[in-house]
Amino acid sequence: MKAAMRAAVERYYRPLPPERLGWLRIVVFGYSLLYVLLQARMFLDAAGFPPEEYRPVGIFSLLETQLSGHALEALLIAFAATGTMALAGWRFTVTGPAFAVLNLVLLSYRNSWGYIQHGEKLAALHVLILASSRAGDAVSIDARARSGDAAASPESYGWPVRLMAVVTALSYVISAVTKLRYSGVQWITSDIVRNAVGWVALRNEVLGLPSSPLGPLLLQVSWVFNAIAVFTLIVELGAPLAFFRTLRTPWILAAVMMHWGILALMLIPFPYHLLGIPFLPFVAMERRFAQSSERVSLIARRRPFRWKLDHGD
Amino acid sequence: MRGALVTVAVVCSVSWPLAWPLDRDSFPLSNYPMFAWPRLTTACTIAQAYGVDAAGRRTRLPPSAAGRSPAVTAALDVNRQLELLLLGEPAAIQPYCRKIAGYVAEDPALRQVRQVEIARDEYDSLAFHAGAKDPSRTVTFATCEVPR
Repeated sequence: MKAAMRAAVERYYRPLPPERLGWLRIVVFGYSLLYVLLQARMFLDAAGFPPEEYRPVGIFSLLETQLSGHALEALLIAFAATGTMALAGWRFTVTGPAFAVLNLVLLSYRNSWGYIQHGEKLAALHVLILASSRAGDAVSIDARARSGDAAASPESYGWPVRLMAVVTALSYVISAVTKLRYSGVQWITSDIVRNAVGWVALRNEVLGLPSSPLGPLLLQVSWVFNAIAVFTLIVELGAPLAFFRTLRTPWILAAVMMHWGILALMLIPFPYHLLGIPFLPFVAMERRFAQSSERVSLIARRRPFRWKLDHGD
Repeated sequence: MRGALVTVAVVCSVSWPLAWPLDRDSFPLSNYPMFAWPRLTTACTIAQAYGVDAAGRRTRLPPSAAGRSPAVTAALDVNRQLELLLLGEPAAIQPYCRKIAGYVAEDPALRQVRQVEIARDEYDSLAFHAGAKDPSRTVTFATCEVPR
């Protein structure tokens, strides 16, 4: 048992190429930056919401502070500035944590004014992990300035990637445990999932929101929803399987499929998950990115293509 | 050492919601209660704010009538606010109704609205999707005049 534990710890700290953390920084920070900036209007609108609707969550439940419009504008500007610098990997040890904190502040604040967006939670956690790591040491301005000198011990580039993977897996397992705590095996054996799909479609239609045409069409076929429930719990409880090389790809494909299924049935988007970003820590993405950039530079270097006409003589 | 500290802190924090009561949620820590609730029947209720015109016609008020911007999630946020008030603070419903009436009075697009109603409509989701779009029952919790 002790030997197995030691082996697991050693595996957890095994070095990974700094480029993997670097690419994760670019993808996760880039996503988070765009996600907030594309909805900036909505974040600023919170200043004008009726104060009695403020139900602080996360760090705001400790602060209990309502922010003015000017404060929100200042936070968004600082968010955009630190986000751009951290994305480029410039002075990452300062800009990375600053961006992660601002990201957490803005998302927590917005979620204090209505429905808590489950799809935003994992991205916020991944940003925090990356910010606490050496994610600016490769594929970054900091790396160019250092001109190839190693910035930290090789172990520093392994554990943050694996921690992100652990958090991804944990989020699915917790989600399954909550379903079982709330509803027990009835979550699979009864019509809970079908009724949830029917309710979401009804609510959206009554409130004048877009709703999926697929969900209501399937409502009469209740066994489909029992099958979906089984599939969901297998995917969620099976998340730790992603740590086994042979089961990794099937699990990731199943998880991504589950999120696209949720979108098709209920029109509830989890953009971070739909794009497959939570699963990148499980993948040797630096190789794929290196291959892609090599291909791009090859195409750029290739001489202009000329059609060869075959006249047949 | 740093790796161990961050790992322990993150894993403990992320797992902490497993010890929370089921109705508690937060951000970014969560027990992900989405669709976990045992919705065993097809009966559904939706709390809404309605505007009533001089002829007695009822129409659903837009999120702007509750002081919200026209974002996609605004209608959900207003619905959630009403449900929370109905569940936890019934005494706050009448003041909330008056507050909405105040917003309606300032909105030229809602000038036909004379009265605001806070109601909860009951539906059967299977019947609804089979074509029975009207609520089977409506319970009105508060009514107030629009100050004009």
